[in-house]
Amino acid sequence: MSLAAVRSAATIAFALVALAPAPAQEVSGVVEESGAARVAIAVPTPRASAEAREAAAEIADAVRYDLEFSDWFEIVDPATYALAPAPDRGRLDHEAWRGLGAAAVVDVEVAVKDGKLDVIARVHDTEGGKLVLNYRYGGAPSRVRRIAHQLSDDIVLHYTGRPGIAQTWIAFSSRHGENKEIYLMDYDGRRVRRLTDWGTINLAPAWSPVANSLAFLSFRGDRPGVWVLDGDGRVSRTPALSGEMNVSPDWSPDGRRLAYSGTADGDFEIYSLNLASGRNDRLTRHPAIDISPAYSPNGREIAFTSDRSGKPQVYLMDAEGLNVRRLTTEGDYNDSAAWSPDGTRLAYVSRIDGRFDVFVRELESGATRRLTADSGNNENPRWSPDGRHIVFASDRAGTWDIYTMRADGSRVTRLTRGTHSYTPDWSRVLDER
Amino acid sequence: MRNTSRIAWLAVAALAAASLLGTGCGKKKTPEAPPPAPVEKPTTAPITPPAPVERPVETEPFPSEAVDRAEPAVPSIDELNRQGVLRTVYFGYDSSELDSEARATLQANADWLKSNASYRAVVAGHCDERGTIEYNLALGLRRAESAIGYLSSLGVPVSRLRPTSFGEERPADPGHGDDAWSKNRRAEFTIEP
Repeated sequence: MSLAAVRSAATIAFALVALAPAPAQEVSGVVEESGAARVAIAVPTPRASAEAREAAAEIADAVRYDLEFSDWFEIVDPATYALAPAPDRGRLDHEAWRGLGAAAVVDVEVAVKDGKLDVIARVHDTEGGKLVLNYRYGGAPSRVRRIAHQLSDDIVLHYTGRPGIAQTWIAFSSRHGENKEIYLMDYDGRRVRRLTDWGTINLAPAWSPVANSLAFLSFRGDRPGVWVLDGDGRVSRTPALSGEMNVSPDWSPDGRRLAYSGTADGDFEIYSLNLASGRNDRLTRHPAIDISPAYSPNGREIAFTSDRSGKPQVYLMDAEGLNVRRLTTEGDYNDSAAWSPDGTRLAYVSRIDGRFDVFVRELESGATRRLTADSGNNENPRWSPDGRHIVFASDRAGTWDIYTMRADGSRVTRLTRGTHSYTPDWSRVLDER
Repeated sequence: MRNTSRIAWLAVAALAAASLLGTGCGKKKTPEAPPPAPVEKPTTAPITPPAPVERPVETEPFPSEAVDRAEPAVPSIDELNRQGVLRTVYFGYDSSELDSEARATLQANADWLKSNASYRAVVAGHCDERGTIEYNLALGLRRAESAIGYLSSLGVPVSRLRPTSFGEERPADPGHGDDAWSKNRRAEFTIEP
């Protein structure tokens, strides 16, 4: 497939739901990154016409979940909202809501017009006594959660200056009959849908950084190889070298290359495929196993796993394959390296007493932190696009399921239940949004 | 009883008469050649054979009428794979080394492959569930290569053997203990045309 094809698929299937955003507002109450207190925000149930009441309740639930999960906000207890006058079409008793401890109030109206949801959302800053956000959203009733997630991200962007993650997805591999297919769900575990129905083993989907495309390993066809699924549903097998197996694809940050591990030269070596030209460059030259490449966010380095020391360990090399150096030195089984979006940290898994746990290493200081312990196997960590969360697979509850946690290991959230799900990857926030 | 014997005697007599008439009418007499001189046999004491050993006849599992007497066909590849003419090799934890049992199994597989030189085989390496999914794909391939390397040293051309790996994706035993794991760390052979 050509690069152009990869790019053209970028936005087709995922149109924005915002209608006309209000003119830029003056930014106030912006949260500082480190050690800042969370903004106390109230999200009352929206005012709604009778036929929009269900959607209104769902919007309130989703926005509360999103803002709480973002870790930039804390939700003022909804049980107290009755003590203040309800917001009314842009008018708010700022003092009464300030009295409930709310620094901000999300005031939403939901109606159904011509079979579509019409959502007006205003955010009031009770301290400054002014309206800081005034947006209108619309879309089919089936898109109610998308609308709520977009509102959440708009609120996060306003208060933090950073894109939120409420509109992101998690792709993963899950058992389907005797096989494994590629699935997609919203970042909160809702709206699970199957993307492939190939009747074979499909594993380890990797999001393109520049498009809604997934590269993954499939046993479809005569040899296990790397396939790409585009957001418009198009499927292509990549022109990787003709080894017996080509596995573990990962995109370069500009989306122009796929690094993968293949056996064209006998044993597993790491290659980089230029998607536009179809040219493959060999990056490693070692008779040991070299797999699981991961491009750094600036594209200059690749982390990978090699057992050239006798046991699998995480290594780094330059993107051209030079300057190979070993990163992990403790333990006899380290694998699944994943770069934080800012490139300062690597998450990976390490086997301790026969079980895998997730670790994060600060690359500059070498300081290493263990994020999971005493809870089954925890594998395949991948970062949220804001670098504040990690998604992973765990068998802590008996079956393999997908979980998220904060990047410090706290607040573990279970996203799937009893599904036999593996190898999650968190979608990126695209510039096109 | 007496009547029956008499009828039988009459029938025999009639048959004898008919046969005499037949020869008399059908052939002309030719002059007879003199009989050959008897071969002299030295007389020896008669040999008494040893008494036969009584052998009970074993009952057969199927009535003989039901046995298909068609010529045996060349078994299909599916049948060969079902019969398991090429046996599975097992490995230790995290290992792709061949122990003496694995080598003996591969010797038998090599013998079969050498005497059935028209067949090729896929050698698929498998792992237990304990490693990571991706490293297990690589370890499985290393197990397949390990088996192929030994078969090659026994004289099987490498060109007849294709390695692949399923990692931990196709366990032989879906259980989660030492017993299941030891059955899952393996290299399986599938014959191809």
